[in-house]
Amino acid sequence: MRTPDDFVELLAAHKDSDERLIEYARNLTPLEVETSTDQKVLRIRRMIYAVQGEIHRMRGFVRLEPLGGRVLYGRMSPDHEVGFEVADFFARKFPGTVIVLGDEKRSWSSLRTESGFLRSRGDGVATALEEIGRLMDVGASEGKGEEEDGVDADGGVTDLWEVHYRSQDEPQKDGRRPFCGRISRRSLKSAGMETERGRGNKRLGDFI
Amino acid sequence: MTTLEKMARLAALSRFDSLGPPARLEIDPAKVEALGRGTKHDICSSTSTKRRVEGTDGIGDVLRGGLCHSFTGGGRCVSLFKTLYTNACPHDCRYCSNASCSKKSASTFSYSPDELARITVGLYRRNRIEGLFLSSGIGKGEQETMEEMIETVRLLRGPHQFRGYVHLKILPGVSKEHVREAMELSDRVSVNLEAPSEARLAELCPSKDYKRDILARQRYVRDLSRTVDLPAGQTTQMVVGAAGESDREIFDRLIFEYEAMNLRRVYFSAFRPVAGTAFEGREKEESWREHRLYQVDWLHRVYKLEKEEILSAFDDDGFLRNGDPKVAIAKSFFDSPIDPNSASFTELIRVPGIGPKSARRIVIRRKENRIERMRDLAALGVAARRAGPFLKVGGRCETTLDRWIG
Repeated sequence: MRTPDDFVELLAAHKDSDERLIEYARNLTPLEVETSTDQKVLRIRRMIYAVQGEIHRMRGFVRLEPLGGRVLYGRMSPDHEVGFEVADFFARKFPGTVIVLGDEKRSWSSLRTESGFLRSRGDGVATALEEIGRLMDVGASEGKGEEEDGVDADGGVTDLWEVHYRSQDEPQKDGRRPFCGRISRRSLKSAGMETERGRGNKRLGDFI
Repeated sequence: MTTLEKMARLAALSRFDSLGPPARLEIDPAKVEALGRGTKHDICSSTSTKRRVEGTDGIGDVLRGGLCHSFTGGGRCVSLFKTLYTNACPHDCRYCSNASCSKKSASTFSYSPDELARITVGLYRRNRIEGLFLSSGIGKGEQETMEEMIETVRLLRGPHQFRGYVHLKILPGVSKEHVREAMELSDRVSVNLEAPSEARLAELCPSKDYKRDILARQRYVRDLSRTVDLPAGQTTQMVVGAAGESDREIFDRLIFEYEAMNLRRVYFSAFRPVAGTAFEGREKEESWREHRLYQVDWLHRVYKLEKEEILSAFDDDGFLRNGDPKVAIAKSFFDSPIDPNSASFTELIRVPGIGPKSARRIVIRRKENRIERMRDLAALGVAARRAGPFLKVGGRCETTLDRWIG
């Protein structure tokens, strides 16, 4: 992992960063961060890598669901302040679509426009979705929520994914890395990866 | 107007609709399972590409470093919708459950280009995958099936405006024009070698011609890539341990593939007997053999070690031992521990526990401060316990059992 040019912003996103540390980091170059053996700089380097790692994991592990025709939302509870980094990543992938990510208390919304990104911070994904849903119904001329057309929001994707995911598994392979060995339990939980977490186990809901 | 109001208005006005009309993916789960299972032993799941996505008139993006979305129990990354187009195949590959000589436990299935394109986009929108990995049995014929596979990607790139990652397998024996079309639409293409030589392939799959069906197609890709951009390059894969081949045979083929065919990567898959196949009674190959071959590949491709040097890790029968080949090479390369303050870059990267990145850090660091403690090396990313026996730091070096015996 190389130290990027914008490492100070990454450091500022770390949950344990403070003004003094950020000020100290402003006087360092990326090369100094990468090659120093000083304990304080080492701590800065570890913090930068932790933030970079979380951004990367959330980009891969957060699952999205559509709401109507112009919104994609997903559950995400990051440790660090990386909400907009991840939301912008999805907004870049899906132009013309509002991306809403977050959990019960925090939300990050992003939309890619011709001139850049429009961003909005909120107090929870449910509140943000309620508001954007109301606004889209009023403002959007298409008004084609998937539910209105009699098609469920998921469209059978989760079932299809579970079948495919299990087709790729190889239980007889020597599992040098146990399941989830490369995905921390925290990441599985914070990205809400139900298929991978459950791994086909029956849940209470299956019997009721 | 709040930012959310602006977003709602701009999204409604946007010319491009990433989500498209609502649709339900009603695909037979048995088909998804059977065609997915057919690619389980295809190892390449990399999504790293040099391509850059510009503009706002399509869905999807790519990353230079790639992205993993999930892992299986065996530790394999699941980042692509990896599937066969059809599992019908007239070839008689003796390890393959879809081969004509195998007792078929599953029915024969095929996708249509439209089905596959819709599944790929549906999964992509939910962030389950980074793109599509499409392989296939021969089906009605290699030209027809390849044409339908290409049509799938045409639909993705055209009507669906999909800008995500695509890896297409080149079927053995297809025309040069098909190879060109596949390359124009994909990030990566690959032709599976399966075996390191013609004789070994004859044992695995008598109906395939090593030179005509496989090597000739690899040459097509190599030659066409002078004019057609293939951002993630060409790769291949070999089955390890099914035909009695030695590691040395595989290594020689690997060198040829990188040097003569200009391949980006060579993948290995340790043989696992599959019930109903001609090889179902053969013993499975140990996973560690696959792992050691990847280490040797890494030493050649990333560390740029010479072939002759790497050969010191092989035994007299041409096999790698179940130990880190870099340690074996270092033992024959170094007569005595080296000082990281004076060692050259090429010496440093030959020390186990020091990679190109930490060697680079050492070279930069020592210009300003001498390295006098192992702790400093650990801070630069060196695996100190592995590197210790080969280093002299602060005038001290670790005593090893080898040195007493030697």
